[in-house]
Amino acid sequence: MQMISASVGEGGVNRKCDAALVQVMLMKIQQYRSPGRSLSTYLTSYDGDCGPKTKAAIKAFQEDQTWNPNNPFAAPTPAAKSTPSGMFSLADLTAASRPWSPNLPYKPGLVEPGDATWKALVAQTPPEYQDLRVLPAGRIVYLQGTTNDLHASITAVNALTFVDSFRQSVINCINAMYKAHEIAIWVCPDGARRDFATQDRLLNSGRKVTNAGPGESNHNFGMAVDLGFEKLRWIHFDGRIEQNETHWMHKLDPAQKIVKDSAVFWDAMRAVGTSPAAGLFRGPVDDHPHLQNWNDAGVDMGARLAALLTSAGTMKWSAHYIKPHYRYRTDLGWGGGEVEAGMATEIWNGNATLTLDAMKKAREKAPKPKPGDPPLAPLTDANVTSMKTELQRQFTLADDAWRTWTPR
Amino acid sequence: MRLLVLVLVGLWCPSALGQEPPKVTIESFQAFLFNVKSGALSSDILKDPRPALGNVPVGIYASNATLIVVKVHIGDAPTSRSLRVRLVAIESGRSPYAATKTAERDRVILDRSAKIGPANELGVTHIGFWLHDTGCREIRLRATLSGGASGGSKTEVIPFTCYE
Repeated sequence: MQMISASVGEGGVNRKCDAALVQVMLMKIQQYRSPGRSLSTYLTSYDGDCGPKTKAAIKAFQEDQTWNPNNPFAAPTPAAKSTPSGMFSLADLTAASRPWSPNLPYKPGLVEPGDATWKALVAQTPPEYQDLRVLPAGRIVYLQGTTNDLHASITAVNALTFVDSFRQSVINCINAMYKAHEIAIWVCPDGARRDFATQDRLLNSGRKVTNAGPGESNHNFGMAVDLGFEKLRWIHFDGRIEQNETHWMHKLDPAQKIVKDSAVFWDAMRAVGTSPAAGLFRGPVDDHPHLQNWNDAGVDMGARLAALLTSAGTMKWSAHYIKPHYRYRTDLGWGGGEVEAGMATEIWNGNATLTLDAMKKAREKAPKPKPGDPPLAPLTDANVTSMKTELQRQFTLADDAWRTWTPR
Repeated sequence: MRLLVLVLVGLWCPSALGQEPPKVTIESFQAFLFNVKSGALSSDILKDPRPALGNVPVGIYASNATLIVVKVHIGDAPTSRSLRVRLVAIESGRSPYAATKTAERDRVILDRSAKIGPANELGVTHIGFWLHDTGCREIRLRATLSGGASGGSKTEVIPFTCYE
């Protein structure tokens, strides 16, 4: 059981996370049967706010310990000693309704980290709820992930495509998340290396998911990952355990508005991922599942794709950014001036913006044929068409050489 | 005579004898992803354990269309020729994990009624609806019976999402 960070209850610090944890315990502990009381729990719901009901429930729990054969408050106090079986005297029970007095072995209505009330709460929480946890900034109580899930998640990472060093960072991140919060996180579908074709389909899915075209995403080079919270078992406010959470927490956040309760989980994952233990970087602010190998601020994705195209293919490339997309220029492999070829997605799909005039100018600037070489045939529209296909092939060469991509 | 009339009314109107007329009800939804590469349909994505529906257009499903099947229980009810199922599918405007921030409005991607066909031996019939351009945004489904049928409506959510 995760220890509360500070006191909860009457006069307590009452952090939401601690209050939520105590509330859930009081929802799961059965009250002792006593005259006039039906068998039930101390609370029926939780919300992380320590109000009168919670304080009364803590007090009732404390008072009920007189019926507990292993009364945790049966420490040798003058009053307790005078009763058989370690039970409180009537005087004690009366005193419990008053402000704390030195004669009571607990502070009525208050739980403090590690005190007798806390220990009693832990001891009486049913076994299936012994591994309750809550994030420090949150109030959603969850059940600790299993080591089986942790190992399965890491096994899945090993079966996916990443650059080896980045794969280790992803595994470090998953381990660090488990170590910090005992949550097993998972790689989302399509959250590993993505080839140029897939990236292009994502760009053109008509959903404005990304501005990154083929070769412009860290995912294309096995250096980005999307992680999520599938299988996270958390406790609904009415006490039910959620068994079918999705990577994106559709159960906790059905409207997917990144409400505070879900944002706390995303923030925790990002904090762990960007900590020294994992050494990753976040991507776009709203892309919560995404972590990558580089700080976007330090990498010019267009320039790096141009470098990859140049090294993997037979042409020289450069890139310039016209919001929101990079545009690419190439010397067409002629060693002269560069011509406009268009956006990555245009080139990838064989629709480079190359024109006949541009090709003619590029040829004029290119080195002249050596004496004895056959004369160059005049350029025609057919040459433009075939060159567009060649530019497309250059992108394919870059896709094949994705492991040679470097950030600088 | 008065007693005879009451008995006849009772025989004619089952509810007068405490029997409800057989109800036509919408039982459930099924949803199948159309794989653009293979031309095949997935298994029912609304059946537990539900698959993760992230980046569906580019992932293993490679899907940009969804077949929605509405299951209707007719039982022994005499069905009217005008009985229809109306399906409204609304695509959420949100794309919470997209790398680019968009603020699109919810939009109705389908609002269509279809006649009900014959039922099987269990009194069940199915009506199919085709949704195009699906896979990145959550879709809310609402099926209602119209044409004098009872049974009200049923809702379902397909939690598609996409991310960079």
